[in-house]
Amino acid sequence: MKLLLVEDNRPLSEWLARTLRADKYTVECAHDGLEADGLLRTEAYDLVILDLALPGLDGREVLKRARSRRNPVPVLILTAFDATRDRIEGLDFGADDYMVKPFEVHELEARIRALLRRSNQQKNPILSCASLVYDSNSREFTLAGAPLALTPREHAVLELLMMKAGKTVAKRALAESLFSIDEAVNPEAIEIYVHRLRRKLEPGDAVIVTLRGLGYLLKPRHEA
Amino acid sequence: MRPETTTLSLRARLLLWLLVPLGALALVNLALARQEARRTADMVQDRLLLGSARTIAQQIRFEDGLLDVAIPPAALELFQSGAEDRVYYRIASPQGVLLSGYAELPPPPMGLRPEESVRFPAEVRGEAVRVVAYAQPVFAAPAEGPVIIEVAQTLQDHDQLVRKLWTTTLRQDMWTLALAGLLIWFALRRGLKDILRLRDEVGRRKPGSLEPLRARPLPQELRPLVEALNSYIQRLDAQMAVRSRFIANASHQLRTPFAVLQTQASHGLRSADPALKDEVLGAMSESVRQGTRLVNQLLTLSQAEAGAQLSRPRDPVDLATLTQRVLEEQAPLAHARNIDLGFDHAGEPVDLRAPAAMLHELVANLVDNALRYTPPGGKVTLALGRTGDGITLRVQDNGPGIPPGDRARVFERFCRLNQDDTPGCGLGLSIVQEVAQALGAEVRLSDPDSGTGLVATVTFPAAGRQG
Repeated sequence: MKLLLVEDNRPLSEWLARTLRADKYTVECAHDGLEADGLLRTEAYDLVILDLALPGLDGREVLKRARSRRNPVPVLILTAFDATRDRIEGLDFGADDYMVKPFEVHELEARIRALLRRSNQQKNPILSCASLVYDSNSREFTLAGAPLALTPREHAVLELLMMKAGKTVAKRALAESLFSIDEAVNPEAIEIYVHRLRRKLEPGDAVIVTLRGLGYLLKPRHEA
Repeated sequence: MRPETTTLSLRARLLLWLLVPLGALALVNLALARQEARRTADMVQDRLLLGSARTIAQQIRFEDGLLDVAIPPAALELFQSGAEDRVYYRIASPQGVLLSGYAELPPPPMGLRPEESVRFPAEVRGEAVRVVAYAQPVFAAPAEGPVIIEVAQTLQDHDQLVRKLWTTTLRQDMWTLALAGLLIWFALRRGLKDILRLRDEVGRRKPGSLEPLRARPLPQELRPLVEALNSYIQRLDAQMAVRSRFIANASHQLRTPFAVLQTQASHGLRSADPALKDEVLGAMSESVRQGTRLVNQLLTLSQAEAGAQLSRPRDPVDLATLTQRVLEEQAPLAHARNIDLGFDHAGEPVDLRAPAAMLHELVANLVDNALRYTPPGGKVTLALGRTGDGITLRVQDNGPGIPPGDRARVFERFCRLNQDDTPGCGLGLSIVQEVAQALGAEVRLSDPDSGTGLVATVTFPAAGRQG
């Protein structure tokens, strides 16, 4: 899951990004409105955390432009403005949620999960594929009841496959959700992560199938 | 509690101001009318008395060496009237010998030439009378001079006439006054309608309402007042907008450090790694430092604002010593950023009448600002000097400078031109501006004589000329 964090306060941006990365999200940071607008034009994100008072371009304007480009990405406004008018305005411009600083990190994380779940149209926080179960609240995988230990990158790949369980996921889509903009995207690396994941999934009955030229597919083994 | 001073309504006051002079005028009119009535009555009585005296005079003959005096009845019939007036007469020979009539009647106060008459007041038997004396020359009489005929009448008829004439005027005056009062009252009601409407409009306003008052259906004289009020409301509106923007900004600025702290704390709490915890604590400590600086700056700003309203005689402060102290305080920051911080001053004291704490804030914020926006390895120089107008403090740096178009904007609160590299919240120059205003000083930003950078010049009015 790739998030864009738009926040002009450097320490807040840095520490919030560190916290979210520890939650196994891929996080990109933008520090002014113009930068955020540029990123939203070229990159695909699963969620945007947006401050309103931004240098360069106001957060509301960033949101308005994104929505006018029909960009459906879920947007959570995170701002110090707490007047009802500001909230209404923010939501009316197309934000999906609104949080006021200072905030509880736990609550922010829960809201991020809820927004991601909603955007993936899964009301149920528990996803499963045969005996592989994913709890999107705790963001943990279990295989036949036992926790599955994964590195952040492996986690990101399996999470995306799980979200789209039963559908093919292109290699490029996997790569994009895995690497932030300042990392060189290396499709070869995806193969490595998939390979490692297959090994870890071996004891269970869910398998990752390669569809050459198309991508990967997560499905129960007995259907293979 | 102070007793409330009673103020009459505008209408009552105008009514009073119109009616009192009108009443005074009526009184003067009455006094004049009374005089006039008396004069008229005097004239009527005098004519009667003179007529009577002449009638008597025509009957005086000189026969057989004697003056023959007969009082014709017609002479006295003239006086018949409703009033119970008594009539006296006295006829005296040229020598003053009483020929006929009442001896009590006094002789005329002066000698009379023939056919001359004189009127004068007198008293007979304790009653005031009006006397007319007439000098009748008697032909063929041996004696020299005329016979003096005096006719006198008590004043009842006279007074009655005076009263009658005067009461008529009095009655007319009263009616006129009453009518005038009534008309004025109606006129005031109509004329003051707009003012009273304005009063109601102002009275009905909610506190905090900043809508302008309607000036349209008002008389010309009131329009300037309403316009002045509206312009005041407008200025108030602008001031309140600035204030509320400041409060919104201040709360926004105050929340951010807390958000940072909370994020850092929660990140640190989740980790078991002591090294990471240490890193978080260090970062938190920096956040607290910045938050503290922000709070201090906000407090300084509000103090400077309040200070602008104080007027007080102050002890002189030596700006040179104060600047020295500020530079000593800022030296560690300059050292940390590898900036050459210098003071260009001959050493003699430069006295200013200003509160030392506020001066300190002004100088400290100027220096702090220069240090923050000058890249490492740069140079910041302070200079003190006297000009014709007063004392100048110059802070020059060789940082990136501020484009002329942005120089007015940097004094706005929370304005930061370049967000990227400098920690700060955009209050420094606002504080400088606010304090300078409170001290009657002026701040100007300009280019240095050579190279890049910024020169901030504060010009203080000469000591003693202010406060």
